[in-house]
Amino acid sequence: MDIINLILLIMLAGFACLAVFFKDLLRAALSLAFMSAVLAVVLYRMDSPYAAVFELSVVAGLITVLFVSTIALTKTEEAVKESRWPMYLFPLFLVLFGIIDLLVMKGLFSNIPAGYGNAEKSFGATLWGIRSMDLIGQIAVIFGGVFGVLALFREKPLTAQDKIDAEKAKDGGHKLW
Amino acid sequence: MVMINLIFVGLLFFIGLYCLLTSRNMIKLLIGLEIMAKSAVLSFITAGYARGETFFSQSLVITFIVIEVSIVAVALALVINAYKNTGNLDIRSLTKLKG
Repeated sequence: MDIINLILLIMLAGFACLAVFFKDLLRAALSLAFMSAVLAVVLYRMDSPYAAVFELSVVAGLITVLFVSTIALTKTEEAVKESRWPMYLFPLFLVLFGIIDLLVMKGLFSNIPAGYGNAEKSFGATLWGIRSMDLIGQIAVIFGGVFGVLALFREKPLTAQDKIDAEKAKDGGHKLW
Repeated sequence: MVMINLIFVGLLFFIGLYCLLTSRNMIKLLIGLEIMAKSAVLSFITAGYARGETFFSQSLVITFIVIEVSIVAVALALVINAYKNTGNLDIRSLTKLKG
């Protein structure tokens, strides 16, 4: 058994629990970022350096920035009231699920079919050759996300009357000229 | 290594699902979703590693990460809009929306 891998996976689960149970949202978001960083190390150790770099830069970096920005924009005086029972019952459910998980995964592990190995000699050849059509989907998803955000932050254009009212309000209600 | 990873895939999925089922804060719900997404990433890479097809699984993971970022960006924009309307981050307040 690879002991370093086990330690990393325990850290991964630990940061996930912290992200779920921290009351402070900022701390929860930072725990999620640390979790991504640990996952990147796990991926790197499993011969997947490109996925690790993406995980570290995009998920640990960009998504954390998005979360922190949202938390800053939605700063509120009263926190959302959460029940306390989920925190107390969590260890019990985790142990129960862990036992079921162990049994199911043992069955799956014995049924993993033999692979054919990497079809291409490099990752670049795989991504730009065999999986090149994925890039079209990725571009579509990126544009979908961009236009989705733009549509959600769209504001009603000001009418002529609105502009006059805004001008009046700026001058304290009186025209200066 | 593969067996231990598969067990932790299940555990991470459970932690994310537990967060989704028990939390009321919209940002916390997204954090739960992210944890589940990470378990999926670990699952893809573990499967690729077990079968010796790491290039293929990495290209899938990169596509998945791009989709994940788009989903999170749109979902956080929705959270900000919901906050502007309701003044809080409680998911239950969204049931009172009309129109």
